[in-house]
Amino acid sequence: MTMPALPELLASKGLRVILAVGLTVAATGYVVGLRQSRVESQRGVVYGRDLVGVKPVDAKLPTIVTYAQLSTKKLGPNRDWTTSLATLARPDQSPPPKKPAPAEERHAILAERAKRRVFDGAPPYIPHPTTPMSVSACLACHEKGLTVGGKVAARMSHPVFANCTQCHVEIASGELDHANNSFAALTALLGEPASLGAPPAMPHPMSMRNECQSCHGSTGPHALRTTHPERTNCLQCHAATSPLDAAPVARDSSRASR
Amino acid sequence: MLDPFSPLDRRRFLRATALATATTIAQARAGMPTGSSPARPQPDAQGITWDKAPCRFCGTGCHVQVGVRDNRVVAVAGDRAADVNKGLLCVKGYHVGMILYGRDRLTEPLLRDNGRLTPISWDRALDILARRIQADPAKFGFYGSGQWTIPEGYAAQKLMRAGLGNNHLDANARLCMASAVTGYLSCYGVDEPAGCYDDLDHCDVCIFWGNNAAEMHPVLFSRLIDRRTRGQRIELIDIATRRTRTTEHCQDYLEMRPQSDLAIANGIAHLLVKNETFDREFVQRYCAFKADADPVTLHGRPIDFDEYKRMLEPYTPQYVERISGVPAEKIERLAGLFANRNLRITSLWCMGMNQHTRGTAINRLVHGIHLLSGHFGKPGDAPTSLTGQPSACGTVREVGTLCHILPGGRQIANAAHRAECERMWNVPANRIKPEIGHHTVQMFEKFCTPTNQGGDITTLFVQVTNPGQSLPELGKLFQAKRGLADKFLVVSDVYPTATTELADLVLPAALWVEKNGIFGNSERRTQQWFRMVRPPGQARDDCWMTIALARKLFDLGVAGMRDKDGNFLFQFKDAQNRDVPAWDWDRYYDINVDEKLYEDYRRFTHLEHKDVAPYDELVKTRGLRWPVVQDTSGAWKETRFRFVEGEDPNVARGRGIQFYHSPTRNDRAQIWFCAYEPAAEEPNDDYPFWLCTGRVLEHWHTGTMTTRVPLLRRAVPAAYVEMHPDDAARLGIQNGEIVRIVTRRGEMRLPAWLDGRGRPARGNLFVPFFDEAKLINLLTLNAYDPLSKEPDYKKCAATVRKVVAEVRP
Repeated sequence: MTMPALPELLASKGLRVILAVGLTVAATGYVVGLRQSRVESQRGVVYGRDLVGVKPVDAKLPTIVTYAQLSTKKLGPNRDWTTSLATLARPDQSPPPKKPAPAEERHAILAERAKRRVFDGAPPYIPHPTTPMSVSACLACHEKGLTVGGKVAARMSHPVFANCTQCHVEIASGELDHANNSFAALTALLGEPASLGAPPAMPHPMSMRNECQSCHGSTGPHALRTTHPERTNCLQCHAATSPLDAAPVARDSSRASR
Repeated sequence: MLDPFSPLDRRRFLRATALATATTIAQARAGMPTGSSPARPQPDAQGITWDKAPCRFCGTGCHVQVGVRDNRVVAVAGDRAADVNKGLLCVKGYHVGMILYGRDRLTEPLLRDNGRLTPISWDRALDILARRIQADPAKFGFYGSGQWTIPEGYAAQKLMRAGLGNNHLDANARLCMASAVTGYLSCYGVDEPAGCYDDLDHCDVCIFWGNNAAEMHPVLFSRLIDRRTRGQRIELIDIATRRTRTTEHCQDYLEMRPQSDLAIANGIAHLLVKNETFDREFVQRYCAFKADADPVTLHGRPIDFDEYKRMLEPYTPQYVERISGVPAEKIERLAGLFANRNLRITSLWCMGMNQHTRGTAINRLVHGIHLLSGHFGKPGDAPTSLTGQPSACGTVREVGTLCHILPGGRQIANAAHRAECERMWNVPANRIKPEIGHHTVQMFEKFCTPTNQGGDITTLFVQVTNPGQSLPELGKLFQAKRGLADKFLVVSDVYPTATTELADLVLPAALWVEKNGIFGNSERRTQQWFRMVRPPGQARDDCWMTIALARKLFDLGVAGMRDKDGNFLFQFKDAQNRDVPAWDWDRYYDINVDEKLYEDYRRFTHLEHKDVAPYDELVKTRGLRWPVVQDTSGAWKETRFRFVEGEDPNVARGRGIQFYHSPTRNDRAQIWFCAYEPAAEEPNDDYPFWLCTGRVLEHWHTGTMTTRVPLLRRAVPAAYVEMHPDDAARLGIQNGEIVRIVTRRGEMRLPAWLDGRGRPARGNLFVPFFDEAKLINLLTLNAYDPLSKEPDYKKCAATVRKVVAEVRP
């Protein structure tokens, strides 16, 4: 028996039905997937650490099986696995805020942010397991920053330094116990306008924070986002005030070049 | 702009003003310049005063900006004005401020009374120590470290040599870079690297000789690999016994059998000579050849090129492969790189080459292949040893706080050098004894031996280091002190340590920015900082302790505490030429004692052209690399590349390169041949594994500071043993299981970590030494290099077994 030609296949009634159903599902999925769900936008920023608390669709976790057992054992979803389309990684497309968030919301974000660093200005530690040997794994998410579901992999606030684990160390779960150390940490401040209507001055040093988008752009926490992402020359209006930024930059040592 | 009508801003303004006033007063009290030259930092809008200091940890010498508010360090940032780190730090550096605030800081002097440490006054503590020294000054030992500031080390040097005529002064740098010193001395006639960190910006190839720079010198490592991010090509080669984070960034990894680095270096030299690809012109103009004499000496015996060539003959790539396990074609490739005159090649090493029973030899060989191939003296062409402590170079090597040397490169064995120091210290002739003192291993061996059995050190003062954890073979060299009634251990530290555990007297010390200080880093850079916060409780500066101890001895009538004119050795005057009793703690910061001691020491640095910069110049800069000399306009200029015309002011015009301290006094550097010899303790059937010890990124040395930082402690909470997964599989050991490691000196149970931070070669084990609950140095070997006296912590024979749960009877 020979294969029927393509026109003959399309002419088959059963196949036409299947195609129609497929197209409908695809179109619906496309439209539904684009829409920002209300619940999702209200979740605001959730950090990687919170993955611990995320319940899988099927609450019964599968046990790890060896390679040899793969053919006989049934595999199920793992801890961080969900079925929702919305969990696919993509840029957050919610519109920028119309006006700055109220101070209490911004304070709440700063408090949340403070949990992942020892003091304001310290490199944040890593709240998830890592492969300690490769930098490419870090850059995959953090170079540009991305949102997975409501979870944010923050965009790097500084230029690419190739040895991430030099400054960022892994604290995979729980919080740090500071009981044995009385260090009084510097906390972050909110930027305040010098006078009504004036752009707020930068309340933090710029050093290691030259990528403003990291916190104030679309992958940053909602309450810290800029109302005017179309303007990209931030320093034009927002002045640096820290004495650290006034320090002269390192002397040029390139005079030794050939 | 502040809005004067806003209550918040008014408060903020008042607070800033009050703080500024308080700071000014504090600075005046601390003997800091308060006038216009140069302006001291003022509080910012948050009331934080930012000031510069070098990081407290390793020898890289990063500068940090320290944020201080209300007498407390509240933040730390990388210093963008610093040449060394250009604003970047590592995770230890960012959290260095927290080392001041561990809850168990030592805050009062403690005397052991019926086995328990009980508080006593400072006066009583110093009196007890002084009387013990007075009773038997020749049996007193003073043991310091590369974490001593330059003035602290200089005060110790002056007390011991000029005051007590005692040479039992040594420092823990003996355990980390003594082999680098003997390497430099035997090749160039003068200690410390010719190159500097600028080489990292210019090299095309960087070779790590047993050096995991990604974890141990991360800021320097980033300086290299960040060049790739900027689109530059740079080839990195790792020669090691263990895969590490460094290996992951390298194009090539040469996994070698421990100890075989000598064979690899000889293999490279063999090919350069055999293929005639060495730099004939460079060698003819600037070099000579040497080989070991019998018995071995620092300067060996001269040989000619033909003899050198003959000695290298056996080291064919195939022979080297048999010894080292490194494939012959990789040796050929390395030799090919060195043969290429168009490349700039930098070699870096640290403990892998220095903690080695053939440490001097391998240091000589690596210098040798750079000299032989002419990869020397151009930016990026340099053999450079890195240091692990912030002032191993500045305080130990330059101030000379070792049992055989005096300040500025002078030797105790040299009568002219002794006389010169006596003249400069204004003390009677023959005050300095001609016999060298005990080096570290010997000092602790003598201290742990009963006095009537020849243990001729009875009182030992330890400052700024933790030998109870860092010495090799701890059972013999430290813990044997327990129960010796006539031995008295005095320890100055900031936290309880494995050393204070056996101390009879514990003195609480000020730490880092709780005192003025000066460090000297790995690239000859001298770095200064001011006191920014007060130390807790009764903790006081180590430098003050030494001066106050000297004054106690003076009051007890010990003759050596006076100079030829009858004045106290540490008599300082203020700006109005009035005597200041610096031994009185309340008056110590009336003047800047650091500046006084440093300027006194600076006179000693000219002999070997290691001229350090004046104190005021250090205040203005983020450190300057010596020799620092004035140019014709009067400006102070640092030196990046020593022995190089146009860079080093001591090189005569037209010479190109001039080794002006050549050991053969003819301006030539020495290319050595040193044979490969087996390690002091090689594995056998009973002990089939090599045991190597070392550090991890998050912890610094014995962990006394970093384990007090919650973040660092959490990141790496405890010691573990790394092994090759194949070895583990063979022995039935799974990740996380407890194993028992045994050497001829001791045993220890540790969890196995497979494919974790690093992966040792087959037959190798690795254990970090930071964990005071797991003193791996109970297992290590105290065999040391015959010239440098530096022990080998990287190689001894061990067994490893899975611990099977014991069945109860």
